[in-house]
Amino acid sequence: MIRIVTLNEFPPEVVEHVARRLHAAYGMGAEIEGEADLPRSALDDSQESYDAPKLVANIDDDTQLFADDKIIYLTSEPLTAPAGPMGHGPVDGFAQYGGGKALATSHGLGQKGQPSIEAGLAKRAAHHIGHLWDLHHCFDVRCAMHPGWSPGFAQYPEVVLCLFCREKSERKIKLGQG
Amino acid sequence: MVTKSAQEVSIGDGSLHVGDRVVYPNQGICRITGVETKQIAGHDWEMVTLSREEDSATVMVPRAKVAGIGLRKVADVAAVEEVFDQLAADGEQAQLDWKVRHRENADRMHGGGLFGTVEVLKGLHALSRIRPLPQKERELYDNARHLLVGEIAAATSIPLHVAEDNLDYALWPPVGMKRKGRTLTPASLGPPPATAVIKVSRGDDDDAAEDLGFDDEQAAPAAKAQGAEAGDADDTDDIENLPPPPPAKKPAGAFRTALRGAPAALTHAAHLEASKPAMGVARPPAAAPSTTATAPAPVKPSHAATPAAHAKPAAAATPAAHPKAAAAPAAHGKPGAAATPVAHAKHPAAATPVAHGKPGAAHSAKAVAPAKPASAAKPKALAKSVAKPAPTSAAKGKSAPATKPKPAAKRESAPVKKAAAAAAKKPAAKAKSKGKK
Repeated sequence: MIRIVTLNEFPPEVVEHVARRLHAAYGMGAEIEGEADLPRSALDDSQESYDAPKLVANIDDDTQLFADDKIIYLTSEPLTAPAGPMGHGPVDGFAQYGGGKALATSHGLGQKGQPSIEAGLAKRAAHHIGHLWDLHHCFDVRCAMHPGWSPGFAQYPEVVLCLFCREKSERKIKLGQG
Repeated sequence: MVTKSAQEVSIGDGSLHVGDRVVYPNQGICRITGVETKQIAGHDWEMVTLSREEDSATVMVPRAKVAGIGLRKVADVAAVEEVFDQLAADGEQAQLDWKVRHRENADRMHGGGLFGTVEVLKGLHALSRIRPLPQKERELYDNARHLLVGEIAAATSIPLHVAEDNLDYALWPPVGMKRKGRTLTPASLGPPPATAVIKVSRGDDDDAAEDLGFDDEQAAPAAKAQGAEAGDADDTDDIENLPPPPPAKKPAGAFRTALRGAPAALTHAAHLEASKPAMGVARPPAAAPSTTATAPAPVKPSHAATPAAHAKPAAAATPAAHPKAAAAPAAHGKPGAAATPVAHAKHPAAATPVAHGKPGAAHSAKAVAPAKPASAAKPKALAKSVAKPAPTSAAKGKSAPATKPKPAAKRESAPVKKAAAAAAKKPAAKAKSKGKK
C-alpha cells in the first residue's frame, strides 16, 4: 500500500489525482492517509526552504507502515539537499533508497514551461516512490524515473514507467509482498 | 569453523582488511566482516565474509579468489571528483559494434575499477541518446549506475538519492549547472551534441547477436548515419569503402543507404517515436486514460497493404522491437519508395505505413495502405516528425499515381501481386469519387 500524507494544503482533486496515478503506475493501492506538520527543525540555513533529507527524517506522523508499505509526503515548499560533488542543483523531492519514506514537492509546478500542479506532482511522487523500490534514474525521457529537471518532464507529463522500470518495480514489489 | 576477524589479516593483494568498506562488482557496497575457514566437500577453504550494506546479506568469497573478482576498496573523495570530471566532460563515445561493446563493457565492469564503471555508464548513456538500449545492456546500464551511486554515496557520505542526483547533474545537466567554473551544456531532448564521437566498426558475423539480446542491433542505420556524420576519419573509412547501395529490398541494403545521409533530426525523431509504445502500458487495475497500448486487431493478411514494413511480427506490439520499425524510414531514400509494396512483413500486425524520408513518400504510404493500421505505432506522427512534404496530388486525393506497384511487384509471388493490386485500386477509387464530388 502507498500511503499519501500531505504536509501543506492541497485541493482534494490534486491529492486524488496523485493517488490514482500512483495506483496506475505501480499497481498498488494508494490511500490518502491524512496530514502532518512541517518540522521547523528541517529548515535549511537560509530559513526559506527545507532540507529534504532532514525533513523526511524529522516528520512526526502517526502513519503505521506494514511490511511492503511506502509513504509519500506531499508538500508545496521549496526543497534543498546537501551539496554533492556537483554542488547544489534542482531538488523536487527525496527518497530513502530501498526504504519506506519519500517526499515530493509541487514547488515550481504550474509555471511557464512546467506541467500543471496535479500532473507534475503525480509524476514527481511516482518518481520518488520508484526510488523506494530501488529504481534508478532512467534515460527514457517519457519514463517517470527520468530526472525531473530534464525538458522531458514538462514535455511528457503523463505518469508512465518504461518497460524496464515497470518490470523492475514489479519484481521488487513481489519480493516485498513475499 | 575457525573465524579470524583481527584487523591485521590482509586480504587479496594486502590492501584489504577486515572492517573495510569494499565494492564488489556483482553485489555493490559491502563491508568485510571476517575471514572464516569452512570445510566444504572435505577440503578446508578460507572464506572472506562480506556483509552487503543495502540489505545486510552475507556474501562469502574464497580468499584465493578475492583478487580475481574485482573486489576493491571504496574510492576516496579525490577519485570521486575525477569521476565527475569525466562524467561532465564533452565527447561522449558510443561504441556501435555490439560485440566490441559487449567485450569492453564486461572487462570494464569486472576489472576496470571505478573508472571502468564510469566508462560503461557514460558509453551506454551516449548510446541511449541515439537509440533505445537492448535489454541486456539496459540491465548493465542499471548495474553500473547502481554501483556508481553506491560508491559515490559511500565515498562522500551523502545519501544515495543525493548521489544519484549529482550523477545526473553531470550526465543530464540542468540549466546553469557548472563544473569547476565551466557551464555545462543543458540537457536537451534532441540528438547528442555535434562534438560526440561515435565509434563505428564492423563485425564479422551476427549469428550470436540474438542470443545476447542484441537482436535489434542491426536496426540502427540511423545511428550509424550519425556516426558517419560525426567526422571521425578512421571510423568513417569503413563506411566510405562500402559498395554502393543496392535497391531497397533487404535490410542490409537499407542499412547502407541510410549510412549515406539520414539527417540527425530524423534519426532522433525516429528513435523517440520508435520507443513510444514502450511506455504507457497501464497495469490491469489502473484507470490511466490514453496510456494503454492495445495489441493490433487481427487483420486479414495483406502484404500489399504493408508498404515497406520490414518489421517482425512483434514489432508493432513489443517495444523492444520498435527500433526496426523506426529504422525503416531512413532505409528508403527514394521518393515514392512507399509506393512499392515491398512484401517483407511477416505479419499483418506490422502493417505500419512508416514514413520514408523524402517529400511525397509519406503521402504515398497513406495512399497505398487502404486499411488503417491498427498497430501501436503512430505512423502519422512519425511521418510528421520525419519530413514536412509539400502537398502532392496524391495527398489531396485527386489521383493516386504513386500507388502503381510495378517494379516491386515483379519480385513478388502471384498472390501477393493480386493483393497489391487490390490494395492499390481501393484508394484510387476513393480518390476518383472524391474528385467527382
